[in-house]
Amino acid sequence: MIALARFMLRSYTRRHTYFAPLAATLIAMFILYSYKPNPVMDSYSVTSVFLFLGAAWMGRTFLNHVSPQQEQLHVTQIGSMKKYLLSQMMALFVPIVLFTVLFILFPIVTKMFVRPVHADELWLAAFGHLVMGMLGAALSLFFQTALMPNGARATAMLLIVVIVSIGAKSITAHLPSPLAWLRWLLPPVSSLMDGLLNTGTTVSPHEVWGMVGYGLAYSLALVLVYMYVSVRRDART
Amino acid sequence: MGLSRFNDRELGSNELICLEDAGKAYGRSRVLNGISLQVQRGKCTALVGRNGSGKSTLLRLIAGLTRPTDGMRKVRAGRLVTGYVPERFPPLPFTPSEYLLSSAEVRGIDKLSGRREMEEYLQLLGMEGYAHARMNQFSKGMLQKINLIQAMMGSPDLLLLDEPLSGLDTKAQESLLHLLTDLKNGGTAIVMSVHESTLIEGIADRVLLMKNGAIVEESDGGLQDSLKMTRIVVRGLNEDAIRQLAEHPSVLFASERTEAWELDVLTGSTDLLLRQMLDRGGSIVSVIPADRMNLHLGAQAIGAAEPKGDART
Repeated sequence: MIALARFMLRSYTRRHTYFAPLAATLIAMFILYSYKPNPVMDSYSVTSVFLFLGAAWMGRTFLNHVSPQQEQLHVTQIGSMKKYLLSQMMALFVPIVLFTVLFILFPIVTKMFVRPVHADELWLAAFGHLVMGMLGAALSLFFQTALMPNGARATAMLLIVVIVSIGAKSITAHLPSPLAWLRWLLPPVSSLMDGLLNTGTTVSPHEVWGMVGYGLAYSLALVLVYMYVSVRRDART
Repeated sequence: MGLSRFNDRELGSNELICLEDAGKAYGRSRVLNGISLQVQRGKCTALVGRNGSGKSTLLRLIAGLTRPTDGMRKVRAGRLVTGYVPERFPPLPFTPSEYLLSSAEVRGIDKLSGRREMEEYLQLLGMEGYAHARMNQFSKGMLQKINLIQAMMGSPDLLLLDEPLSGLDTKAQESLLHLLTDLKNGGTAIVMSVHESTLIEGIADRVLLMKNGAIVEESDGGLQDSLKMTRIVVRGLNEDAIRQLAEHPSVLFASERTEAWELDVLTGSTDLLLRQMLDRGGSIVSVIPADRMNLHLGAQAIGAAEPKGDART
C-alpha cells in the first residue's frame, strides 16, 4: 500500500492540480504572519482552519486526478478495492502532516510570536492542526467524482459543507431547541477552532484535548462510512 | 453474492474463478445476463462479439472491478495475482521505466527482478529506446505495449486482456502471441476480448460468442464450425419481422441495405432462419457462407477462412 500511495502522490504532483490549493493555503498563512508580534494560540487556531480548507480542496483535486482506467489498474495491481482506498487515504495524509509541520514551525522559526511557545501548547496546536486537516480531507472523500459524478455540484456541496462547518457554532446557536441535536451532525470544526483560540482562558486545555479527540473520532467515523460505501462500488469506467 | 471467496476444494484445483449465472445491470439497463463460466489455470478463453455485446463488462466482472448484480463470482482461496489490460491505457505523466517499476513494486515484485523483466519485455516489444521518454507523448500503439507489459510482469495467475492487439503493428502482434503462449504454458489463465482471428487461432482453447450480454455459443478451440457465420440477404420483410428474427440467439447482426436486409447468423442455424424468413413472406437474395468471405464481428474479421499456420511454433 505504501508503494501505491507513493505512486499516487507522484502522479498527483506531476499533474500540477495540487498547485492551486497549495498556493492558496500558503498565501493565507503568509498574509496572517505579514506582521508581528502575533498571539500564539489565536494564530494557531486560524492556521488550523486554513489547513481544514486546504485539505478539503487538496483532497478533492487529489481524489479526482486518477482517471477511471488508472483506477482499474491500481485496483487490479494491489489486489482489492479496500487496499486501493486505504492507499489513497494514506497518500492524502502526507500533505496534511507536511502542512502541520509548516504551520507549527514557521512562526516559531521566523519569530512571529509575541512570546515563546510552551511545550503543551505546541502539542495541542500540532494535534489540532492534524485533526483539522483530517476533517477537511475526510469530507472531501464524499465529494469525489467516483461518488458524485457531477463535478460542479460536488464542488458546490463541498463548499457548503465547509462553510457550514466553520460557522457551525453561530448557526446552531440560532437553532430552535428541538433542532439543537443538529450540531452533533456537523464536523466539529468551529468548536475546535474556538477551543484552540481560547485555550487557557475560557476553555481549559483538557477541554480542548477533548475536542481534538472528538474531531479525530469524527474523522475516523467519516472514513469508516466512506470505506463501507466505497468497497461496494464498482471501479470507475 | 459478489466477491465471495471459496476454498480450492469447492472450486476445483485448476479453477481460479467461477461465475455462476452472473448478471450485471446499470439501473434498468442489463448489460450481462446469466453468465456461467470457469476460468482455469493454463487455459485461454476468447470472447468474441460485436461492440456493446458485453465483453468488456464481463472482463471487469472477472477481474473483480465490477460486482455482479445477480448470480455469483467465486474466487480461488489465497492471493490471485491478476494482470489486466484495459481497452484504453491512460497517457500517464511518467516514463515507461518509472511506471512499470512502480507497478511491479505495488504488485510485490522485488526491484531487481522487476527491472530485469521490464527490460526484457521492452526489448521484445521494440520499446527499449523509449524506456525513459514521457508516456503522455506516446502513440496509441506504444501505450498499448506499455499496457500489455504492466499486465504481464510477474507472470500473473490470471491475465485479462481487452482488445490486446489494438494499435499494435504486425511484428508486435507476433511477439505478443509468443509471449502469451509462454505465459499460458507457464500456467497463467488468459481471458481476452478479441476481434482478430490471429490470437484466437493461435492460443484460444475455447471461444465464447457474446450477444446482448449473454454467451450465445461456445466452441472448444479455435473458430470451429459452430462459431462460423453466414450472411443472409433477404428482401420483402418489414422491420417488425426483422426485429422478431433478430431476437433469435443465432442472429448476431442485422442491418438495413437498399431494399434489403443483411443478417449475420451462425452457420448452424442458417436453414432454420431461412425457413422462418420464407414463412414470413421474405425472398432470399443471397446466402454467403463464412468460407467465402470475411464476416466482421466489430471492426475486424473473425470468420475469415484464411488458412492460419500454427502460431505456437
